[in-house]
Amino acid sequence: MGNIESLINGFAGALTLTNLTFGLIGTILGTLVGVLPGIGPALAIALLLPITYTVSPASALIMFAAIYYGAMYGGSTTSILLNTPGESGSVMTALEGHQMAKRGRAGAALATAAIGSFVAGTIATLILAFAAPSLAGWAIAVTAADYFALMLVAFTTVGTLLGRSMLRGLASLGVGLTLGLVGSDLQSGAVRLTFGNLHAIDGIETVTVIVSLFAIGEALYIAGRAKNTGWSIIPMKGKALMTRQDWKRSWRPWLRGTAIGFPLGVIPAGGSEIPTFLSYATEKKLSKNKDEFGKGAIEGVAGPEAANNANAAGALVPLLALGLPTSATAAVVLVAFQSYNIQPGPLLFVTNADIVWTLIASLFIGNTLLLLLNLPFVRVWVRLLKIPRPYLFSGITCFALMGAYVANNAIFDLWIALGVGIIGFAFRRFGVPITPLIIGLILGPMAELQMRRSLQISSGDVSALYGTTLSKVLYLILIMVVIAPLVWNFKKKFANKNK
Amino acid sequence: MNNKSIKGELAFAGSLLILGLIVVFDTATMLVPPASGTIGPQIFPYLVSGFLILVSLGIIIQILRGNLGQPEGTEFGDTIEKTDFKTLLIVAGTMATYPLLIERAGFVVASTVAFFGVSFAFGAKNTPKNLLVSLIFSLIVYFSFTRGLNVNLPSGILRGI
Repeated sequence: MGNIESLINGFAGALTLTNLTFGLIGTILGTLVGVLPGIGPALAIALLLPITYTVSPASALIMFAAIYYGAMYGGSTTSILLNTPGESGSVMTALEGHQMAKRGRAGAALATAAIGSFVAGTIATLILAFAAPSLAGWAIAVTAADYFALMLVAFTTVGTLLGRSMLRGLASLGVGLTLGLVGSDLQSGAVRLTFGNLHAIDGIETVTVIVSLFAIGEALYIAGRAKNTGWSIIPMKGKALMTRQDWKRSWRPWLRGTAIGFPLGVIPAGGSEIPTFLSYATEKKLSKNKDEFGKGAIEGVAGPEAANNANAAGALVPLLALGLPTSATAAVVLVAFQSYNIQPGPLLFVTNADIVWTLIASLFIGNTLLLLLNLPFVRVWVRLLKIPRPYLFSGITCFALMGAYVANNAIFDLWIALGVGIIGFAFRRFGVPITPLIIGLILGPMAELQMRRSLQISSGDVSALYGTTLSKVLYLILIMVVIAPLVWNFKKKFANKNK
Repeated sequence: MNNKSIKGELAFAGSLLILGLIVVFDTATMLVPPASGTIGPQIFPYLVSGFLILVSLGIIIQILRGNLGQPEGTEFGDTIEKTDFKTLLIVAGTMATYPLLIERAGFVVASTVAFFGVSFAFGAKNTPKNLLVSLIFSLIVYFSFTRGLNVNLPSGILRGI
């Protein structure tokens, strides 16, 4: 069956009343969590994971994908009107978008962000529909050693590229790997790091960790470290519309943003920080209105927003084709798949073709719904920002605690959640990024499995780990990722000394 | 940067180091099932702990050379220099009541207490209104999750309703 035919079947599966309803709920929830500060898509999906017990896989995954896309639309609204970029991907949007809003051009900024996200999302999803199956077809030949190498690359890029300090990113990864060790080892049955606790034998619930890192850690951090002031919203005048001039200045940045964002999502490059920054830098360089940058240039909103969305779609390629999450949200979606006993990876397009294609089709539908939902109703969303701050945090805390409890109906998980929440506080306080921990927690056990498989086949011969061409290439990339920044820094220091 | 923040930083990096050492200790004293094969359950933990120890030593060296971490910004404007331990403790303490209450008193009680405590710490001073909002929130969540999404939550004192 060709890809196009599969996709058409996917649309048939997605366009049922039930699935459309779940998609719509997902887009609304996604926009909601995107708009509200302090709560993101990873947390929202983690909280809704219990529905996987009662809802069909296709419906639940459609809803989660809609939340994933929706949060990005909502996030841009907040960063433009509030100048408080929630996710790292919105930092660049806030830069120019907030300046536009201050000059009374909030409507145009919101419009170019939403339409740009739609254009990028649609193009990127189209590429995803064709790239993921071929990548999966090729990945069937990938050996355990290759997988292990691939995960090491993912660890290193996520660990070193996020945040300001490479060592601190790697420390976060190390803590995640350690948490992933807890419980009984699936292959030998040996029990690790449980200290005699019976609950701990099942391991630490991934959802609990994610929920408490994001929500409980954030609530503690705001309580302890933020100034007790409200936020100032810039009132929006007029409608979210663009002039002919705005269109003219936006469409090229949209396309360039897509071209930058998608490939950087496919490779584990550590989230949306780098693509949005690159897009911003590109637009600044190419723009005819260079002097406008920093004062509200529309190109500086259009490009990064498109890059952000395309990047999110790109991250779905390794998730679906290799079972390899490269962002926190993708990691939670992986958990959702697993709770249905569906393992994303090369075989997914064979064993669960109908679900995957329904999911991909629903991404197109979700993207369209989001555009319709966001442009005319942007005022409604802005009103959400008027929720008093105390209630916002109480709500987030209560939802997080509930999410930690309902995953297994276990009080033990709640104590873990509080402990991990304190880790979340400490990480924020000492400038340690959080995503590497989550990636380490989820990929750690998988990496161990692949390593042991590979070594068992070679009966302990370590050279088997770098025996294939692909693994050699991957280790080369790994070395480059580690060495390049060091060389770069050294050069800079050297140049400074010679001055 | 003053001495105090260096101490905090060192305490943080030190606990990472201790975590690594705990993993080493646990792995070394682990009961290894006899049928574990050539590649047993100990190799990966040793790799992880070694990695963690190296990284934490690296961070300690960085701190001693004056290279401190940058506290993360928030979505809520400026951060303060010193941690407000009073508010922090109220919030953390409130959270700790949740595991104690959820099965004994039920979801609605636990959630109301948590909501109330956190909003109080974050500056909601109108107590009666606050209590009412907490209760309504918890009731809405309880009924929409148990009735709407079929998710099981402990009924506690609401049993039978």
